[in-house]
Amino acid sequence: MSAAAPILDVRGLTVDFAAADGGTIRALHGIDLTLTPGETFALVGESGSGKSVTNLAIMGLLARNARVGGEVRLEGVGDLLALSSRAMGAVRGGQIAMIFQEPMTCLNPVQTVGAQIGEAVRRHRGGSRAQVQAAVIEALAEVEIPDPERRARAYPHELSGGMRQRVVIAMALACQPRILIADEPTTALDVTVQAQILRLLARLRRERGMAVLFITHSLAVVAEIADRVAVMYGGRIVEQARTAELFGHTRHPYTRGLLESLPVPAARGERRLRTMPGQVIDITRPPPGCAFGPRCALRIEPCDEAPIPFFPVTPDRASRCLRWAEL
Amino acid sequence: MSRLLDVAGLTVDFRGQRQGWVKAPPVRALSDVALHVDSGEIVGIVGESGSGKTTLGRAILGLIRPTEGSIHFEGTPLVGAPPKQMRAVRRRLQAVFQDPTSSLNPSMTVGAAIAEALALHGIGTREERPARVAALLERVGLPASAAARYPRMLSGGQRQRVGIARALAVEPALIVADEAVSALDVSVQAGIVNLLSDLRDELGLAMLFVSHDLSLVGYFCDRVVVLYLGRVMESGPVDAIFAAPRHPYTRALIDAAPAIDPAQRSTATAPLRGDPPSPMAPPSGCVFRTRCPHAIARCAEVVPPLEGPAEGHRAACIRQDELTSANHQEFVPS
Repeated sequence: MSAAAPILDVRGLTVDFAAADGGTIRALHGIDLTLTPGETFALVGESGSGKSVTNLAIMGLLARNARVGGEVRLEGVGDLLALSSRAMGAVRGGQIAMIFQEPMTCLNPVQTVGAQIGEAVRRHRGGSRAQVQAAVIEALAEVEIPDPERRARAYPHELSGGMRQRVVIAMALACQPRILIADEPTTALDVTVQAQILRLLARLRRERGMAVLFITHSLAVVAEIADRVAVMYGGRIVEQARTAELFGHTRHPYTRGLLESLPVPAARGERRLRTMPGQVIDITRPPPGCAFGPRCALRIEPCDEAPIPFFPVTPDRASRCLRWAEL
Repeated sequence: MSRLLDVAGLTVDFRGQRQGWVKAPPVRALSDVALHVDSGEIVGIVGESGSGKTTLGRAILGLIRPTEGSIHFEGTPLVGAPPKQMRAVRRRLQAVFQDPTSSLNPSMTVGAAIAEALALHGIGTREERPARVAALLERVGLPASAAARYPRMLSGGQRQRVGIARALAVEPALIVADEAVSALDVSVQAGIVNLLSDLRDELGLAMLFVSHDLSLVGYFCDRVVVLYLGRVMESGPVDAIFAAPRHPYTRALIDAAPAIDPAQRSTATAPLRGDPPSPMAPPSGCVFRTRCPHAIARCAEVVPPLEGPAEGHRAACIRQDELTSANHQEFVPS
């Protein structure tokens, strides 16, 4: 897909959950994606599309009733799915770091933020007390926290939501990860603070040459931050492209439906928002053909017969729609 | 158009939290807020966390007692109104909240929940009510058979439709919708927004639409009131506010909203620095001055009055004329 060699290469990733009735429910149907150093790749989808399950499967963090198949190859390490839990523990927070929607879930409420970042620094880099302390201040300054010496002594509850997310980013970066997985990192933040955090992530990615896997429900955030994007629906990637190309001309009816359902001030009084008929796919009873078929205005008979392959549109993009060329 | 809702000088203080033996001073959640809604009008209330937008909605609904100021609904004063009078008003003034799951009784069928609203206000007889419930469900795009279902059997979007049907049951003139579509996926949100538009067009329903989503407000509302730290920063017609905001905070909000269209994306302006200050210690003078790229010494001294060139479009900024007029470039912070 891209010229540079991928740092992360996910092939045919599947996730099956054991169901209460003894059967299994397939949550992911073979995800393929690559991440190259220095790029931001976005996974975008609505609730239940499988975007967070993809993240958790890559990181080996799914519950025990989940069975994961396929390959997750990390450059220089090998298939993460084949690693022992101990080896995987070293990869997590070492080569791959994560940040989540709610920073408080990653922070210890009874420890100062400086102590928590210090712990991450000590574990991954070691050093004397003074060296760790200096690294902590430097980490806080790098995520643009004003007055870092004072903030290092603050407890999480003394900080605003935006400051807490910065602290979590500082912790994640303390171990110099090659990949940062950001799962809805700005969803809980106010829009002015979201803009700051998106800028911060873009700057850090550029300066460190890190790869970022950015998971979000917001197409507008994707447009702001991502180089490439994959749109998910019903546990599959339905369209993948460079961000500007996807928004310039979508090649999948689901992506088109999403874009037309977005309210934009310019459309006021001129058009109704587009709605998609029917309900979001029930993954316990997937249709035999296209997952989006039952809601799609372009559906034809072959759509219902068998799973739709991923058609290459150009070397850089693909669509899981039989009629992509007509879109 | 007739005046439905008139809010003037609304101030709400919350009791401060006790710190040990020390009694904390009250926290001012809203300060001297004025707004009005005419019949059939959709007025957006926009603001970030701590702006007071939810408090404003709750004060209008009579769920919070204001410290000062007045709220008139169809000419009737609501502040300090006796319960009997409030009940009559409530029939004309309804609410739809963000999370339909928490505002619906899980052990009551959808039909029973809607019929209860009818019964409380003595609308129709017991025999007539099932037909009314069915008509209301169909009005909000649900099958009449949904009446027999429990909330847990419905999706989030369907539950929000039930919440709207229940609000509509008593034939209100104004609905206060507090983040009514914020928790929904965009494809589901679009259906609810279209439904609310239809209700306005067909029933002449007015709405106070409280939201943090600026694009949605820009699409859906006729007028906007922008709140920051409990004060009105700017108010006016949607088109004027989006095309030519007069307050630096409104400008910053519009710039910060992520946009798909590269033409709408502003990479030139730096995002606002820092977070909104704590409402427990608001800045003196203009509450926005600590984050404002154009603040001058005088901003700390006076609370800027809400004023502007047109009665309909006003901003609380002492520099609004010099920042918006002739020298437009100056508005872009360096």
